[in-house]
Amino acid sequence: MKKKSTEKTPPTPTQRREIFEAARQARAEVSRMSRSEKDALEAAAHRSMESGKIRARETCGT
Amino acid sequence: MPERLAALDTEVLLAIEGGAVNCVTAHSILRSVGFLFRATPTVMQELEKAQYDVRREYTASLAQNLLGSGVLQALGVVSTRMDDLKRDVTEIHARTMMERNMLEDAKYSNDGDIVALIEAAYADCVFFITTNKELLDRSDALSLALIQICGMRALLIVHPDEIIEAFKTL
Repeated sequence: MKKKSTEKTPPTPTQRREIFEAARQARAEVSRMSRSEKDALEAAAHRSMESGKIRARETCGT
Repeated sequence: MPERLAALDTEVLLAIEGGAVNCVTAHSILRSVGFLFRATPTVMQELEKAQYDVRREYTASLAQNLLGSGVLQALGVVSTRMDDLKRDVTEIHARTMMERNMLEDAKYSNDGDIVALIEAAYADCVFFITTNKELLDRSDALSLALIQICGMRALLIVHPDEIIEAFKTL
């Protein structure tokens, strides 16, 4: 389930560590990927952002 | 005032979304003095990867929020894809910097760190904001290498706390 952006409590030290370790792991994994694999990841990220924009507009009723 | 750009490293963006006080404060300070923010291509790829990290549900949810709900735009973070020529040049520069052992003795850092820095410099960022100690410990050498090897502008590699300290009189 998604964490709502509006309900933010600062992360605990354990959560901060998790964030850092996850970022390090993602960097290690991405740096081993081929260019086409990186392309696919980046395209997917941008698609997610685009769909997010559409959802936001729908929510606002515009 | 001309637009100024600061690149946010992956864990900093995730921490901002999570509400980490120092990262949120540094972001707010820079925003208040007219900065916009960059998520480099490498950072976008890592966020996409992180949102499917089943072993780290908390971080995965933060990455999902950042990518899926227009949060990046609301934070003033832009991300543009690089063309093939820029990517070729980035890879060549990254290889050169790795050959010079810029990250010698670093435990966690890898060429992805170098690529992220070069992407940020390519995007004319003034700051690369990270909590990665291994990059921060080598910040001067890395900044100089970006200028000397890559012929790029100076990029200050800084911790969010350094931003807060530097701008605290505002």
